[in-house]
Amino acid sequence: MSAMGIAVEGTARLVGDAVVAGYREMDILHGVSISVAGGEFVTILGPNGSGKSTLLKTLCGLLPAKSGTIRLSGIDVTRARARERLMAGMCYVPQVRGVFATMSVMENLEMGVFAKPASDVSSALERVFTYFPRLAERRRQIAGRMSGGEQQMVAIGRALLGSPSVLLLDEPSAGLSPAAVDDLFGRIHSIADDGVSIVLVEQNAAKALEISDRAYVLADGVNRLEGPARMVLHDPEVRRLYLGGGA
Amino acid sequence: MLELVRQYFVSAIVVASALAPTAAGISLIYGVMRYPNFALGEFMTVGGYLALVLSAALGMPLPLAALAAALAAGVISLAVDQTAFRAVRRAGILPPILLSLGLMLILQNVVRIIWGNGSWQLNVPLARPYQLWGFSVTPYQLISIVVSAVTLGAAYVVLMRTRFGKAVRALADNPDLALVSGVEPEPVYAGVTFMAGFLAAIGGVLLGLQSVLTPLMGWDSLLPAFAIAILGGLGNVMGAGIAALIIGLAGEYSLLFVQSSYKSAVAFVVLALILIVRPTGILGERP
Repeated sequence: MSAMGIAVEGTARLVGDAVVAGYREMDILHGVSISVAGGEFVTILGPNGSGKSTLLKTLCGLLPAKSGTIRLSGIDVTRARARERLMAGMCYVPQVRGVFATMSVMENLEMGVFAKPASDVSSALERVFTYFPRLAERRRQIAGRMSGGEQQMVAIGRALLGSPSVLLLDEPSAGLSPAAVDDLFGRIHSIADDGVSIVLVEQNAAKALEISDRAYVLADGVNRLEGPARMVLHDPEVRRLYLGGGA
Repeated sequence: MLELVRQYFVSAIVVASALAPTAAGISLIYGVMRYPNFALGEFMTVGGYLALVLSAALGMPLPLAALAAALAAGVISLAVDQTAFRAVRRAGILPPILLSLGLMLILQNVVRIIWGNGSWQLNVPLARPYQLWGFSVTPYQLISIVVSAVTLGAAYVVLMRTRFGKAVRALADNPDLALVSGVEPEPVYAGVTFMAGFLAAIGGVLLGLQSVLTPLMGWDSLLPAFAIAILGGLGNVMGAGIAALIIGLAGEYSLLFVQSSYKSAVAFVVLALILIVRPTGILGERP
């Protein structure tokens, strides 16, 4: 859509093209396009109601796309169900209730490979424990009784156990202390460094932009702006709308 | 007095043993599919009468007849789910509630048409009570307690140790997250409705074993079973077992203080009092 886009279509791992989606009669997305390269860290910004969460739900298959196309590693998954997209490498971490609250940490993590029952999880598990050592100490703990930050680690850990190629994160910083957000974002960044494409929806625009490669700004269900994170961070309109004043 | 306290203790456990499996079924269906199934009381009745037919008319030994009756009740429950309930899966909570009420009336009247309004006795020989640790227990009471405990224990193992059980718990806990984790909901719904019909029918046979079969036995058990399911925490099978004991003990021991006609009222007072302290039930986690 915009000339500022960097990812080239041919190398893109995840592409959403002119995606229209929403709930029953009401469309929320009116033709949003995004493109994410392998190992790229992309942040989606936008005011409340702009369609950020709806975009992630449509990409992962919780909501159907009414038109447009979604491609994952070159394969058209527009009509594929959530389970098939999961098998194809797309994992989604919802904004609220990202864990199975009644299950232990270990059971939560195992749910990440529920769709691949025969798979050997030891190396993926080790990787999750490298990102989040705290989870290794708390395997038996019931997830619903953990702190918000720890639950977020469990939620992301569950998604990582499926060895995703694309990780969709819906506001993982919600309800966390500033220190916990910094800590979490650092870990997410190292996940991207290991080659996993990240699509992060965030309210916490400044912090998210600092660690992303590129960003999209949505407004009223359409693309408003896109470009390298640093350029978006210094865009006067973005600064005025999301970063609290034009300082 | 001490004799009475002991005897009420036994009857409380016996009452609980018949109600707990049905309550577990209610709890399972509510936990996974989010609607109260009022027809499950009738699956007790159907289970009891099917066991009667299989044992008395077809000559099966009663344990085998009970198992076959429970399997048949499970299949009936599954068949109704896959036709009627499946059609209203995405229609909210009211259509399945109304369907379950309709199914309740149909099953109750089918039983009346086939077996009449009178009572029937399961074909079991007379037996003398045992004396166990000072408690007087009849063999059938003992069988009822053991069968109920084993059934609930098996259901618990299925839920905690199998892949199906994990899918059930995932869907009950967090449906959207279960979907994006690759859980297929329809096979889980099918398994849960089968289990609920099976469990209720076992409860029905146990109830028949304790007294007699009547067309209203399921209806009479429905409210206590719901009280137990709610008290145990909806979606929680073990909670149903514990709650059945509490409701049973409260009801029986109230006889020391009030007339027997207040028995079920006392059970509901206990339910209300506990829910004030723990709104999600004894073992309930969900806010």
